[in-house]
Amino acid sequence: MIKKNLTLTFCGGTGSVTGANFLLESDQSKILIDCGMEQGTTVADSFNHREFMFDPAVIQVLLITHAHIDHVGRIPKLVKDGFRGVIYSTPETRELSILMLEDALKLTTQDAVRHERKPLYDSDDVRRSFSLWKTIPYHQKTRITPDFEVYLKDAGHVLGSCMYEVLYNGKKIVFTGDLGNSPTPLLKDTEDITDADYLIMESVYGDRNHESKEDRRAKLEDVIEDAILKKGVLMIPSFSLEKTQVILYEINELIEEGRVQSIPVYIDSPLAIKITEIYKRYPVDFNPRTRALIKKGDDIFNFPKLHFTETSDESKAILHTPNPKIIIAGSGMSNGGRIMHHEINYLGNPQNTLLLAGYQAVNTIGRQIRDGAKNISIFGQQVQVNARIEHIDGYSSHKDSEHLFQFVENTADTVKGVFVAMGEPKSSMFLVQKLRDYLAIEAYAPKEGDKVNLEC
Amino acid sequence: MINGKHGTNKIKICLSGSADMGFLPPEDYEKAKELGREVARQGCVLVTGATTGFPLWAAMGAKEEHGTSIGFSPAYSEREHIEGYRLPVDYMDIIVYTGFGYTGRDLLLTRSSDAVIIGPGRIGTIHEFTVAYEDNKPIGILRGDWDTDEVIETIIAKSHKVNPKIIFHENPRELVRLVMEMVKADKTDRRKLYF
Repeated sequence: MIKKNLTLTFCGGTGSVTGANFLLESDQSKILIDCGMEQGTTVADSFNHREFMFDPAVIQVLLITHAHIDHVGRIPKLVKDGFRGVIYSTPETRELSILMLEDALKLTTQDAVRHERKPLYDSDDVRRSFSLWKTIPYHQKTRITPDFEVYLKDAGHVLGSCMYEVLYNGKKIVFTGDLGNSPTPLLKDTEDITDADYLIMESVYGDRNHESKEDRRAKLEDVIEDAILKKGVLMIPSFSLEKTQVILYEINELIEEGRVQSIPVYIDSPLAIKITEIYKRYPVDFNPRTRALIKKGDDIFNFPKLHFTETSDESKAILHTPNPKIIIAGSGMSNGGRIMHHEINYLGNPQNTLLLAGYQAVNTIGRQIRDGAKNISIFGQQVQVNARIEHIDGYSSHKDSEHLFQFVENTADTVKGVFVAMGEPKSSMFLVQKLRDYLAIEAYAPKEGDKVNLEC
Repeated sequence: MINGKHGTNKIKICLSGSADMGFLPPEDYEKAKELGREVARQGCVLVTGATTGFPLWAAMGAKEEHGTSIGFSPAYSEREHIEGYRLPVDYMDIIVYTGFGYTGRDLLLTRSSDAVIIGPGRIGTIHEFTVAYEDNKPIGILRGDWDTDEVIETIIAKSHKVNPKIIFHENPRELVRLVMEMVKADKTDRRKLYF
């Protein structure tokens, strides 16, 4: 094979967990991997509204790893700015993205009205995005341009999440997207990568390890029991995609096993309710244990006293229902959504509990609460934080430091370069240091705009 | 006589700084590493609180230069260190498990060192500074785009005790060199009993 060169540009998702956007160029093709929104930080808005670092009109293909907004949120903007290529993802991701982008459209429109500026995109842009969107199942090698092929592997992060093995000139460049915290309650384990030449990976928890998985359900049980004892409200800010379904599944198991008393549980998120319906249609993506449970007749997303409060009136009525109760609502980082109304109502009372079960981005209300803030501002209102604040890292949807390291170790013999992105600087840099020191491989934490040459 | 290259006679410098570097820019992590590298390059032993953040990055730097790195842990055992305190064991040749919690560990850490260098930090770092200050240790304050150095200047200005052995500098190499000179001068004054 004649040696060729690829250029990889880090257009987003560097120095931050969110905003993933990577450009891979050969002499014939230009492909993008992910097109996400930045979330949480004060610069997120300006980043999202900024022009892309490239001309969207010349990009042939956009590969999407999974349906979280920090990976798909700017697709309609890409299309608005001229992209007319093909978008690829798994079928599950496409279905989920329809819901996620519908929801994002509502939020960006509201945001535009509030800040008196043009919205990031409109419904036509969203509709056009889906007209360009095709699907590729896992484990089916597919030619996407004359010189690039892809093979999708299960990342085990959310339903439909994949890693892209991009095949070029006999070499393998792997984009991991987000990597699941395997073994997870619902999904299959992250597949191994053993023969990558280059790896572009996430590092949300690059410098930290989660508490053990055995402890996570016990901790959830404790938190629920405590809420029952105190006759309080247990609020769980929850991402609509994956986190809500996992928490539902875990509560279902705790109730089925008689470990907690059956109390009212409210899923107060129209988006989470619709996404749960999609999960029910893809049991093939669940792990063997969960599939076996479903086969035995267990409705894993249903149990007595579970209520889906779709409408706004039903949501407001929760305030008048008796305690103890559990409220699961978006958004996962308390930077929008119905959870904020519940936080205004309930955070001031020490009988109540707020359980953080996911990553809280810098500057979000969730992060402020997690860091110990006793007084926060929600919708301009000052809210005292007297409720008990708990967090369970074990339900994180991301691999922790030790497992990220092991993931790379599997391919340490072949990999020529590891690019550690999608993480806060300290997380990425720490992982880079460990990879260099313990595996003696070339690892880098790229900055926004960095261009690297990949020898293929 | 202190000979920096001699194995048994190395100066021990404690590096004190925040365990949570929060959103300090990547350049500050590099500064921590450079400080650690300089401690090793100039023939000293790096001593830290066996924690994350600034001291850990300094330990990485020291190990890059094949230096010796010692950590003083607040925990009473490796298990408590990792599982209870959630602290790292990487980049340290020896960890001394003090069992005295953070404040007790600060005391042992500072007293076991010949000098203390202070980087960006919060209340724990200030505690280590005040222990060193009270014990008349040579102290180096690293200047940078944080405000710990200014906080310390205020503390010194308002304290009723003078410690003349304090140096401020923004360059890690110079700071380590100047701190070493203070240590050597200090030790020579006391006249060693053994050779």
